[in-house]
Amino acid sequence: MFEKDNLEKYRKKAIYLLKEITKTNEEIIKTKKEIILEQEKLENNQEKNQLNSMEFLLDFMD
Amino acid sequence: MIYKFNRINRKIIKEKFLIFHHENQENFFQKESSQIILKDLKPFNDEESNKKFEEFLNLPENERPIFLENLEQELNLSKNKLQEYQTKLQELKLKNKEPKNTHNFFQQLNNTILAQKSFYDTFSKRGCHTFSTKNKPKIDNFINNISKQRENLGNKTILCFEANFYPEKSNSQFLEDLITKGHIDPENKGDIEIALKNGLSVITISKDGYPVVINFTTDLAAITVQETITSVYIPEKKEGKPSVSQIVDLEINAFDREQGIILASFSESKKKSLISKNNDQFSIFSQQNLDSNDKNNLLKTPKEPNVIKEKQNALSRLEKAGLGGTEIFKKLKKIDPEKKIGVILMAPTNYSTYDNWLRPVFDGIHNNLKIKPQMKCEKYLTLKHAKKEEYLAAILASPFVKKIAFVGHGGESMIELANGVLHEDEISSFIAKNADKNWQKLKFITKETCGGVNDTFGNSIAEKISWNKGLLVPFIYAQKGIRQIHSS
Repeated sequence: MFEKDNLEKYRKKAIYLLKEITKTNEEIIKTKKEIILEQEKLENNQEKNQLNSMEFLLDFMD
Repeated sequence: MIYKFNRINRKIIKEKFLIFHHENQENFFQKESSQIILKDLKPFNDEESNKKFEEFLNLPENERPIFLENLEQELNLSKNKLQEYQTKLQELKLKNKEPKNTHNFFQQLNNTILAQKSFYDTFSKRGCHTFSTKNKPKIDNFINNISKQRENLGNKTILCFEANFYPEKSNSQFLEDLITKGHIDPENKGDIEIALKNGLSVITISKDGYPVVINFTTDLAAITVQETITSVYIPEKKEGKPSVSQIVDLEINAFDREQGIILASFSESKKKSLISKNNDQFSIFSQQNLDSNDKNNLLKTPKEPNVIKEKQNALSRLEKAGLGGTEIFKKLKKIDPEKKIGVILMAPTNYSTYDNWLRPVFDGIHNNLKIKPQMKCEKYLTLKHAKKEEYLAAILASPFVKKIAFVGHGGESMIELANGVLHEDEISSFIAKNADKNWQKLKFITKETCGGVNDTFGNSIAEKISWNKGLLVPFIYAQKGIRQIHSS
């Protein structure tokens, strides 16, 4: 009986840990995707800024 | 039971299991436990997890605790990784929230480089505010609200007043009012009065730290001002009222509130005179513009002793001249090297001038931006020494440069262009032929004060290739920014 309980305890733990790992990994993937989106956004902004700056320069030079 | 489970979609089983597992974790095994069910009811879609779970189930009992320990470690690692990514995400989100267009490259460069001839133009083009008779506020309101005015106009505001701007008050009364209201440090009063007496303009730093330009005359004048300097420096008047040409060489070349510095370029004679009169003040400017990293960068490769010596000489001259190119360098340091912005100097006619004065700066820039050797200045920057094809090929062939800033020395290089050292037709056809999609965002910025050369150069190139092909090659006219380096 004692051994059986122990066995169950291990199983539960294994399931819990694997579930947690899966959940965390899913979170990682989700965060990574968000990072990529934010990076793209940042690059776009920088690009836009540079173009604006060039316009600014043109104005300046006019 | 087994049969049923096998026929049900795995996804549904997983979902049901997880819900159940979550809600009733404690009782689950007591109610439903059987090895067979557990095997089938794999709680994870994730293949790896399933494998691990199977692995776990097949393990002898005594090995299971170790297996669990490993899983725990794995979980910790994943959690750490997640935290790392989340931090990065937050940083990026913050960056994206930062106000746009405030600290970007060209604006900063613009703040550093001025090609304006007039004092007023200089200030107004740089975001400073000049009050003219058209936008003149009422004097009392203005004096009372000067801080507010600055707030509205932004930190980079310098207030300029034209001669007899407020005829209802004398210059000295106006000054007195500004002092009374705390806009000008009373310590400066004496100096300002002397300036006024001599019909000079003055710049001072008010108590709240903003520079205030009081130009009571129509003459042009600019004084170097730094945040830590609270006194007014007034060039000594020798005979009569100084002429515009005598003072104009004090043109302000760079104003950077971020660093609290206004940089001024001086003619050789004026500089000598300033240094001899106020050595401490001037040395502050010249020293702080090169930190040790800059120095190291400037002194990097090549290793030939004579070149190093040249560079050291150049460096010391740069330090004395204090600026221009170094400031450009500083700004460029902030650019992400991945953005692949190259700086190409339109070299001056005189090779030695370039070699002595400009190469260290641009080497520094290039080293700092991690541009590969083929993009180094000496390869193509000296127009006299490089074949035009090489020059253009170097630009176009580089996969590392997507945007090119032509930082021009000024007239000479442009004249060389116009005179056919690099003929614009050849430039156009070459670029048109060779430019790839990396260059789509490049375009010529023209219309510059290159002594008339700009019309030939700028318009024709712009018309022939740039606009039609959508090329954008910003040309930044840096005459004054660069000139000051080798004028001292």
